[in-house]
Amino acid sequence: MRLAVLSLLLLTMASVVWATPQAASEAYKDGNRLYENGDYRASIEAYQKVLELEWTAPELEYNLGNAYLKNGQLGFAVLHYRRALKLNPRYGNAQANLEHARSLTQDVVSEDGTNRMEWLSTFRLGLQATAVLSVLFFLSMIVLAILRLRLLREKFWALVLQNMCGVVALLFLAGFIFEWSQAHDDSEGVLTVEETTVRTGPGDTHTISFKLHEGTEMELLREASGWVEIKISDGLQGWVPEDAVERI
Amino acid sequence: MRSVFFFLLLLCGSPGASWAVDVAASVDPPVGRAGEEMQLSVVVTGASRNVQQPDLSELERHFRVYGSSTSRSVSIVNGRTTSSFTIRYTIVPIKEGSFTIPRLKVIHDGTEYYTDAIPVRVDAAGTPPPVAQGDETQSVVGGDRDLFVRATVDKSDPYLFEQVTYRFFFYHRVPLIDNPNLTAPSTQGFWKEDIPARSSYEETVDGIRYNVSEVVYALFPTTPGELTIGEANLVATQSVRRKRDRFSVFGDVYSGKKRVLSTEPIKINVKRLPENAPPGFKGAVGDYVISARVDKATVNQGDPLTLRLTVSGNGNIETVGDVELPNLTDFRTYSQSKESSSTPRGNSISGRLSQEIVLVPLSAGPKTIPPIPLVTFSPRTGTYKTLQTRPIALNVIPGTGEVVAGLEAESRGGIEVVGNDIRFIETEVPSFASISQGTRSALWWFSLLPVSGLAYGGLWVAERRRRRLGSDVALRRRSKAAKAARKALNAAREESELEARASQVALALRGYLADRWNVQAAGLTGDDIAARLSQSSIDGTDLVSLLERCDAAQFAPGAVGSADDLHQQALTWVDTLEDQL
Repeated sequence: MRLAVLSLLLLTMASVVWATPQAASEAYKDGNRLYENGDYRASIEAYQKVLELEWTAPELEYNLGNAYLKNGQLGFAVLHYRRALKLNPRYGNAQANLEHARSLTQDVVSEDGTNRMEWLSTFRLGLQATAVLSVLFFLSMIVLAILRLRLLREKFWALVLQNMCGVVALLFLAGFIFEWSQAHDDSEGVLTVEETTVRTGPGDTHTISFKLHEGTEMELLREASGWVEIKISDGLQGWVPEDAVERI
Repeated sequence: MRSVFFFLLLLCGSPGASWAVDVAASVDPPVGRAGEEMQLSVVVTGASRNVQQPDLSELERHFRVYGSSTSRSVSIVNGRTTSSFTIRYTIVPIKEGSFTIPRLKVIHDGTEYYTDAIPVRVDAAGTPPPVAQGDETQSVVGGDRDLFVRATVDKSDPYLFEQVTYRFFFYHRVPLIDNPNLTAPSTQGFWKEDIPARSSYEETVDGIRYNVSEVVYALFPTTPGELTIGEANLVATQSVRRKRDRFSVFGDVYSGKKRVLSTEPIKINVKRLPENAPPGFKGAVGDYVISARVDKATVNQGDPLTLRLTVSGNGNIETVGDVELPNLTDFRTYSQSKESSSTPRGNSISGRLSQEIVLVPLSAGPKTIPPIPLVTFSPRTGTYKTLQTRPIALNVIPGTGEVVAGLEAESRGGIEVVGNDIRFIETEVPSFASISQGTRSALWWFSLLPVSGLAYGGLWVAERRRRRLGSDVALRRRSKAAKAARKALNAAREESELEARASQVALALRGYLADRWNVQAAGLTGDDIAARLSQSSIDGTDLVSLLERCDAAQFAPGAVGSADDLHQQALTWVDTLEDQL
């Protein structure tokens, strides 16, 4: 009975994770077809339909980034590549195309700011994977403990294996906490308008400090009356209209 | 050889070699300064000897006359022999003014000859000599006759951002001990560029030979109105001969005299640019040309190509700013890079601006990049000009996804990369996750972690307990006493006969007490039980009585009551003792 309940629970979770709705699949295929025909604007609309259906995937965000870039919308291209990498930090194609898009941006900012965590991407597994692996290693540790006590007559190697499972489970738990913090971190944004002036305060009456151009990535500090305070990686800071920036 | 020498002697000594005598006088320099040496030369041409020196007593009203020297020269030109006799006097004007050196009488071979009178101007001491001016409109001078400085500008009323060439000259005819040190003039209101000048050359000014050093700046006024180029200061150390010590054996003694020479400030009146500036004028002042080219004439739709704009010519290229593209509806544009450089060319500054713009064609078909305008102002003509590039034709083919020749060819590990583009889209339908439930499913998994932790904790506690029980017999008996007693009492219910049931109840109770106290059940008497219970402050009289009734029931069953009653009392005692012991 217990085994049956556990199996049902796992199947339910798996269905939540892996089920692919038909409408989303069709819209995605439409987007691909339109992209291959060179109709990038229409392909963007098809991909956006998948998002409107409340479904997402790293590949969807990546394809959206490509379509935006081909359509000449550099800011949105950077935005969706970053979202793809947020869902799958080890996504090589998204990383490569993001670098290409960054090479087209007009504003050159130093590398030690918003990109300082990118070296971690090689080791990152994503939210789902770290959660699943953490649970599996904890369960493995419990199973090994039971086996060692009941069947293996307290063999020393079984104890070592059990403790190793525990350590690995804790590492994945730490990874999960990190991924959770990253997934819920909306403090970064991308400039999606061609050019905007950055002012010293939230309003048109404040002094113009500098200009930024489409595709520049930035840290979002706070919001006030339709304006967002931003900081770019080389330390420059100021306020831009809210609708000029999209949160990643 | 000997015959030639003999012929010359014949010529010189021959009485027949007599020539017409001519006498002339000259003063160098013609314009002098009071207290400074001048040289008076009297040349007798055609005379070889017997020349009597002229009388200079009239000169001594205005000049001091110091000693004289004579020289004789013979020259043979085209077979004609000319002889001249020169007498040189050093004269020093006593005061400034205009004087005339009178006609001087020279007697040769008894015949009197006269020179012409020579007018001489003598300036005050410390006044530098006049300098011939070229095309300079302003020139200021400072210093004296030995060394002086001069500054010029080529125009005094330039347009805003038009080049003004400032030249600084240092003249000296006396030896210097070390390198002069120039403090450049202040040029507030100007953008300044250095122009390499001739390092050093010679120039004759008013008959005096000077060594000249020159420094040149190109100045671009950045504000209209009257501006001032400040004074330029030059510090030089002049070598000065001191009075000779008559007891010295080392000859003349020299020392350094520090001289500070300054030019006067120069006023410049900067004109505003004419008001009728065409739209698009951003301050490009100069004579420029503009050109444009693309790195490829055929491109895939969506692939980038680079448009390179070049502006070059005379002027301050920094005033050109960004060249604005016309509205290119068929392209997405990205400004990529901009470089500018200025180079001196003659006395002008010529500049070059290169601007790269990445264009991404949005649709396929033949396209044209229209002429790109640049509005400039030519100070030479005083008019605005609109320069234009030539239109550029492009062929945009529908995107195929193939990599075409890109912006930059790279070579890596022997493989030539001829194009760069983004990686292609993912064609397989991915496993979608619900945006709202994606995090929730991770939380589902995460919620299993506390359950797993609790399970592992329970397992750990159970194992720890098992180990304790395995090593402590008394504890193990005590912990299992109640369970064993209840099990035995439940088993006793199966017995139908009172004797047997009473016996098993007594056995279960004694077994329970023996397990609790870790003693042998057979050795527990009623007194022993009562004494042990009293140690735990429990009145055991009823329990002992119950055990006695159970024992008695085996022999007199009718006197002990019902079996169920015994059984129930025993269970109650197990519960009571479990709580109180």
